[in-house]
Amino acid sequence: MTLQFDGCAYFRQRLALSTLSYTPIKIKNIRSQENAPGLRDFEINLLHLLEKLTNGSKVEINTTGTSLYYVPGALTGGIVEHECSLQRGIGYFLELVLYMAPFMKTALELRLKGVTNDRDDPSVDLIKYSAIPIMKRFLGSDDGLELKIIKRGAKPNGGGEILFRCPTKMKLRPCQWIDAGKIKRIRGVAYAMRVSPNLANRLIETAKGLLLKFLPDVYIYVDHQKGQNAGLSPGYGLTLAAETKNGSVISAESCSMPRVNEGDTTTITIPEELAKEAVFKLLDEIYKAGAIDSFGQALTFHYMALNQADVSKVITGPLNSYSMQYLRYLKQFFQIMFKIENTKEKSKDELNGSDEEKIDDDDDDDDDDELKTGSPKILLTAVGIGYHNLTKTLI
Amino acid sequence: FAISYIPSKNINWTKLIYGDNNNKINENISSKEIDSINENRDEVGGLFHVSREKKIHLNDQEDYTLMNQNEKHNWNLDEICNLIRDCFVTGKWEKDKDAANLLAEDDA
Repeated sequence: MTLQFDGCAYFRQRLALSTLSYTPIKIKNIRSQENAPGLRDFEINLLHLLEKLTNGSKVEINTTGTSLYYVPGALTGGIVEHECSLQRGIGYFLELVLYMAPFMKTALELRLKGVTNDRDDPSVDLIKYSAIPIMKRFLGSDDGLELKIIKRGAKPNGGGEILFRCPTKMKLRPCQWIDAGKIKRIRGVAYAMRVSPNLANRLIETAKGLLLKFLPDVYIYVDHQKGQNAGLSPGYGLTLAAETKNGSVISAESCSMPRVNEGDTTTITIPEELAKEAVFKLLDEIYKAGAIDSFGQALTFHYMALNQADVSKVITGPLNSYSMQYLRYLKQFFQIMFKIENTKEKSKDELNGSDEEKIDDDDDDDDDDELKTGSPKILLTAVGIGYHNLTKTLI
Repeated sequence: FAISYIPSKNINWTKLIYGDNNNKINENISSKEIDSINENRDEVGGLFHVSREKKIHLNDQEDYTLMNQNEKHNWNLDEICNLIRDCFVTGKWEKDKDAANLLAEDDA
């Protein structure tokens, strides 16, 4: 059974699900209407990475690159090294790997080289903050789970390097994540490569100034890289993560614009504005997030679906288009549907039963029962499909 | 300004995601748009042609994880900041977790 798709959208989601379900896919009309039709370098590069991670996969691309036929092989894992395309950040490649990493034959030790931080893709810092706690929950422990930035690299020349280690599991653990908890502290990292370390300090100063309004426990690390470890292009940025009492992490980031080629008009990012952008993004995320942030949504749904035949629950904010599409694909590949309900209706029912008495605090005018936690939250429930990692070697 | 995004109705997420009307409608609209673009290649005075913003079909979007994030709030305003006040430990707590409330209950 081959599944057919159209266009270049959601490329990684299709590949990940195809590989894990052993379903061949055919994608047609990839950028067929554009001046430069067909697959881009970074997509070919991604397919190369996939070939390194699997055994026996087959990729057929037509001469113009507008159609692709992919037959997945078995996920082998092991020690893999890969030079990522510089058109996209390492986050683009790493994200695909995260979906498949626990289902390898042998524990994965992956070295990726390329652009660690850029404006378009989630940076490695963000993935570290956001995805690792999620994986920890579903894997059961963080034994052997590691994401390390060895060298940083900015666009356009990259030069960064990361190490990602992930253990394999026969099956994942179901996870009930229905209470996000309150945010107890905000952590972050301000990085600077091939620029004055002063820029990182300016980022921190502004970000702290804005965040201290909400919470006293704010700490942002400086990561100023020098020489070899700073990559080949200048850049700086800020990644922020809000940690809650229950161990969820909500993260957001902002990165400087890449240096343009000589002769082009330069676009300059001012550290103060960049810090403000990052903080506002974080506050937006907090407004929208439940137990997981926007980056974690699709990943969490993925682990919920490819789980034992047991119930998993997670509470989130409004879904973004990326994760909504992922839910559709999960249905297409694995015939699994999530139960999605608004939590508002539920809590109202509960409240009706509860006591009507009011505590005598002289708070402001609004309703005492209503906590101000941003957007309405939704609850997703799913029964795992009973996915087993059949390639894992048994001892 | 307005304090943006106060939904009057709850969104039916199940329908939004799994309802197949959704996809079909989208596809129909965009194919119609493409048709109309092809038809109306009208040139002004036989020399200039009206440039339109190119509509990108759902299937032709680039694969970005965190793009198209809508709902940007202006966090400079205190009212907006108040919307997430209770997400933090410094905010108000649910009754069954509020320390002051629990202590009061213990005393009673």
